[in-house]
Amino acid sequence: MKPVVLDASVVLAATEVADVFHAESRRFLEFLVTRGVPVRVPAFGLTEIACALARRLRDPVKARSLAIRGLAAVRAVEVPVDAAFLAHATLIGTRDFLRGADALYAAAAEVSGGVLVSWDGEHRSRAKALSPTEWMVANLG
Amino acid sequence: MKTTLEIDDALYREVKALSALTGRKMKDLVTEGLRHVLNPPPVKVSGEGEAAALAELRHWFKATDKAMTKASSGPGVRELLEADRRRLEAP
Repeated sequence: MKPVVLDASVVLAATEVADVFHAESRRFLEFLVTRGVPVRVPAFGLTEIACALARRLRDPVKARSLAIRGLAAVRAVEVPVDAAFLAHATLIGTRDFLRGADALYAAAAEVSGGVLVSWDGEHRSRAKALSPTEWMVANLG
Repeated sequence: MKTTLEIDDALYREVKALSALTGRKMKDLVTEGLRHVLNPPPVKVSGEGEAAALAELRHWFKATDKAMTKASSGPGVRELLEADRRRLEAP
């Protein structure tokens, strides 16, 4: 199975019951781990998740811990954001008119030969991302 | 007991960063590493890894549920992310 490149929006939606995508995000993450689907995250993803949690919880230590533990639980492998990766992201971002941060996720998908899975509308409209629901439908058959 | 160790510079920087990120003391990380060397975890058979990952994931779900009960009212965490991503696009 192709790797899944996990956007921060999916992980964050899984943390909060009030989120409209909460249940579907948890179902998706459970699907990933029970099927042993390889998960990739650009190194920048940890920063995004941890910072959003810190702003929500107003607790930096808890936020960092939850972000690290969440990515570890889905066995996420970091895609290093080095100079070569950034050059690739620049190519993709300018080609597809992406926001800079979105280009990192799109590049991670291309580099790893995977599929970007995200709740972010911009990712889905411009970066060929699937929502978790679309991904599960495609992979459950 | 106290002792002196020589550690590779790059390894030291990585461990120091992990210490800062997790709030765990350097001595605890070194101790954990040494215990790991003395008692490496057994190789997992097929399927066992997925079961362990699922248990770990559900434990994380519970931890996030508990943490979120202490969050004040306001925009949700994914909304905060979306706002960050879009804030420069407003006219």
